[in-house]
Amino acid sequence: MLNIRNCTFNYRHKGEPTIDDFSLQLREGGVYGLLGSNGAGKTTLLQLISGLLTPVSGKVTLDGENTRLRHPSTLEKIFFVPEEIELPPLKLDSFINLNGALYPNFSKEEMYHHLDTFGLPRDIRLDKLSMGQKKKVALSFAMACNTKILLMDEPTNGLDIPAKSAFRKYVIESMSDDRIFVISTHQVRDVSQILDHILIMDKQKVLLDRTVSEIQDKMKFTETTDSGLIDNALYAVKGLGGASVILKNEDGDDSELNIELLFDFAISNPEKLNSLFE
Amino acid sequence: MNNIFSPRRFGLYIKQYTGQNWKKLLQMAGSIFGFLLIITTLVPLMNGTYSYSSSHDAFWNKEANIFIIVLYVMVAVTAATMFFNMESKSKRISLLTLPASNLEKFLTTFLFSIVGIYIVYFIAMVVADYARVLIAPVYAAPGAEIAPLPLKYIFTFGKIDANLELPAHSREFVAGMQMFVFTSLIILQAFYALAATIWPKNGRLRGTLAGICIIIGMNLIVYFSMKIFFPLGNIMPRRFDPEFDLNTFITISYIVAIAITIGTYLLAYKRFKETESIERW
Repeated sequence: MLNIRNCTFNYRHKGEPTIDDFSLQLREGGVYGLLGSNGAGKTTLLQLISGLLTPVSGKVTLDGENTRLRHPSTLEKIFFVPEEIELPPLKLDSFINLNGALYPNFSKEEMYHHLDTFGLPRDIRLDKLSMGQKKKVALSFAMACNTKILLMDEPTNGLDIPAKSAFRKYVIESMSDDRIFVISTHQVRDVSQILDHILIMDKQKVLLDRTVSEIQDKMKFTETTDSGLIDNALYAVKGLGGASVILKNEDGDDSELNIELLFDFAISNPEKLNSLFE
Repeated sequence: MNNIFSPRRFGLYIKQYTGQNWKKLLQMAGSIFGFLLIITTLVPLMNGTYSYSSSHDAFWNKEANIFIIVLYVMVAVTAATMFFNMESKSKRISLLTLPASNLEKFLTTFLFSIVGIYIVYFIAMVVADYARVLIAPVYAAPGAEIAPLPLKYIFTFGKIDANLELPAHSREFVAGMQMFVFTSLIILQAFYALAATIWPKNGRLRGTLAGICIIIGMNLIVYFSMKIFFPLGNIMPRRFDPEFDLNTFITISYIVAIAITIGTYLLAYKRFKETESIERW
């Protein structure tokens, strides 16, 4: 289990903490979607989990080990794919041989399989790739490392449509009871089908920390032109010819989760949102 | 699992480090070679060192001094840039999240940038000197003595005689100079290595500025301390023992310098362990 306990963090030039007394638990078997406005602290949180930043107070532990110590036993279990990728000036094969050896569960066969799925040839030089191609290589390598925790910051940025579909397919196929995936993204439509846990952050706090099934249990997401429904909705966004609404799910109906609408609801009225779960 | 040091993991990390950075390392070694080659081949030509006949190689003294001065520069520059693989945020993230211990990562960089520089420099020095011996006869005057520089000449600061022996009257001077060069070199290198852990991108400039500030500060402290504790200007102790043991002084200097160097590297290692993906300084 990944435990973030009372973490506070701020950058030198900012007086206000980016993350303030933040606590969170991430359990195995979950694909967490980490959502938030620009500057909410999503990337900061991922870097704190990876041990790349030192909290002013509090601790992040993975299976009891403090991730900030960056022990190899912890680093072998965590892989962080940043938003911006910089690859060394090497041939792909050399990169795989040199770096894969440091991860005990790394699989070369899986690496080549992912590269094939992403449509990348094997005889490429990493410094000659476009941004999207670098992202594909980085994701392929991350997936082939088979680490317990996979943290991804805007993983679908720069990916073409087939690659996004391949990425979603990988997440679904690779998820197991002993792994944790955390996807930080603004492109919610790219990953909405694969998330089973939603985390929404804003102003240094967690506004929502619920599983998709818990959310769908309490809320119904629909489009309607019925003004009565719109007026009585928990949250509504009017559009052309109607509105997207969130209603209380009193009948236990199934509806597709509208993450963007949920996010807007969480930002505008987090107290009302969380009161549904009490 | 041993989270401090594993020989197998250390070997894998060294392989990754050299495999990924071989171009940069080769570039650095090539720069040293090239620089020394230019100096040893061009300086005697421009100075007219071989424009007259001589009984001994007239460039040895200058060449030995140049090699020592350039060694200082190369050692400082290499130490100040030892963390070139952490210059950007992306590179820092890649390095810090690789599954190797902090000690293994630091030790690898130390071996290449702190220890390796001496090996590379020594080889470059010998090659550059032999290049001079090959090229100089092309423009040298007839009868000009051109010979490879004996290493003993450098290590004795030119005090050896024609038989390459160190005369007795020069031994104290040479011992003192060897101590001065060794101690100042290792302290300088350690200082710049510490600067590199604080400023991976700008270690040379900021390290130099910090060094200047420290030297000025220390001089001011000494000056004002002298003013306070020796207002009359007399710093001689009442009982002055004319028997001064140079060997003891040299030994103590070595011990103090090595202690300072080790302390500085321990500080640098501690600073490296604290490295984050962002630069706070």
